[in-house]
Amino acid sequence: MSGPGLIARAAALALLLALILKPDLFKPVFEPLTENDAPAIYNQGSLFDLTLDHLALVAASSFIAAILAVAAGVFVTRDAGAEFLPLSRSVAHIGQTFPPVAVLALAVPAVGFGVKPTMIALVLYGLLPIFENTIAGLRQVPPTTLEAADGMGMSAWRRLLSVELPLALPVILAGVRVSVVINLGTATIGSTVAAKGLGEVIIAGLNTSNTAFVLQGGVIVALLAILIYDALGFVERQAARRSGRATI
Amino acid sequence: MIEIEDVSRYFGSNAAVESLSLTVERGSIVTLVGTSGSGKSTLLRMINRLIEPTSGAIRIEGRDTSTIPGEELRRGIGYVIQGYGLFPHWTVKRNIATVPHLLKWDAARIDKRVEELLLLFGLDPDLYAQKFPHELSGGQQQRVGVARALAAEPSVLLMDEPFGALDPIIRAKAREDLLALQRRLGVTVVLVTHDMEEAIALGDRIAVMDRGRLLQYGSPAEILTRPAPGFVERLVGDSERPFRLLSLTRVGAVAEPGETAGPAISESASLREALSELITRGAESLAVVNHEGAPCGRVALSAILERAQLRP
Repeated sequence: MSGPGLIARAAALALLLALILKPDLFKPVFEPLTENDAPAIYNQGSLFDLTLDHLALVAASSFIAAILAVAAGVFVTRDAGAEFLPLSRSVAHIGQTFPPVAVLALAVPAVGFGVKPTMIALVLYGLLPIFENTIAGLRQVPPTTLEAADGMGMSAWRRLLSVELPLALPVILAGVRVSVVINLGTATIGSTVAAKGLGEVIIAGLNTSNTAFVLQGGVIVALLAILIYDALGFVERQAARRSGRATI
Repeated sequence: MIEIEDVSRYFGSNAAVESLSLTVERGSIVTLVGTSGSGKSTLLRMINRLIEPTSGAIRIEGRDTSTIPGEELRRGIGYVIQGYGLFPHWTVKRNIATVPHLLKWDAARIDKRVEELLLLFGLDPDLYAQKFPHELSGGQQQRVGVARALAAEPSVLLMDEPFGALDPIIRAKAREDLLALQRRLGVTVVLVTHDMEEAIALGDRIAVMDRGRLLQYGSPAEILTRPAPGFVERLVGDSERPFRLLSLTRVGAVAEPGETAGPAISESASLREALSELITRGAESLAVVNHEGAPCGRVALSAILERAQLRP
């Protein structure tokens, strides 16, 4: 990792921690954005707690999406599941194109307010990149490698677990990374249906025409996204190295 | 011994292999030669049941392969393919240990076997055991591929164009190494190639295939001197044929008593090499020495030319 890159990352992390742990430090920065003596710093709860809630929501939804998408990706690349590929692909694409807000609107009457409808929206929204990358990752495993695995007498399961998935892992992780970052942003809308998260800060700002709140919430989410994207990229490169392709 | 009895394989209504019978003697090398689409690779893959025969039977050491579960059968048969198919995320050691691992050998036994094989293939275990395939040259990858196939001491080794990805210089060396190894281990080898030269250089017997059928099965000398009319004749009937025939015989076999001045040739050299030497020097005969360098007669141009005539 290069020197400037390290400094930029450390600075972004320090800024993020300061914003959520010592928000009052930024009062002079946000003050000019407020009108009518409205508070410059979010004062309706702990930013730190909201950040943790937000991360937990994204982590849980991405985890579920990853499990579902990888399982589906594996299934449709087997001989037995090949005919389900178009169907699964349509479902994943609908999940992606259907606006999360619309999913919330439909889910709330069914499962009520709170975390549940938000999870449904985020899982659906996060499926596609992981699903497509799982398929792409499994398909780029060289045919000679697969033939060797069969020729050595590996069972289908063994081949999947010890050859195919490890070799597809870097590509699958790239899908997870995209999915996580999309959902970090999308999770803010969960606050419209009373799921705890950083969306609360932004929505509070929108409701009271307080630009300082909107910006504060937005900057925290953006910094989270940048840092997590970067960290997952590092994990992905490690996986690529381990799969024997140091050049990626 | 591998007995292939009246085996056919259809893909849809197309016959890839049609009622083919063939016996491979234990400890010998049989080369399957033919153009692409001749069914040679399909036949090879039916031996380890990567492809199931549509009809017919294949027996290895008397056991009908269809009675053995496919995975178990394949663990007992070495398999080398063009491009080797090494697992890129595994070290050389882990690659070689693939089948022993599947057979659940204990760690100490695996370590010992891997080291043994690396030494056998001229790869220093300290240097190579922990390397990844992408860190190896083509020739080294090829050797690791063969070592992996031999790891669990199979009695049968199947090879599909194993030298296809090597450049010509390394290929000649790899063939020699394979021959030496096979003589040493006594393993039964079935090798698929599209190259007649390779089939002759390696095969104790050659099976020539075309469009799913076995056209001729015989020793290299038989194929060269009495090719079946049609396809086989065209395959071997080019201007190289007398030279190929000469490459089958060692100098020792035609040496006669007597002495000749000038540099000597080894008795283990082929007649083709001796002829080339005679042409280069413009000589009528060459002195012959045995592998210890002691003189053991001479080889005459006329004797070589007689051997080049296309008769049995």
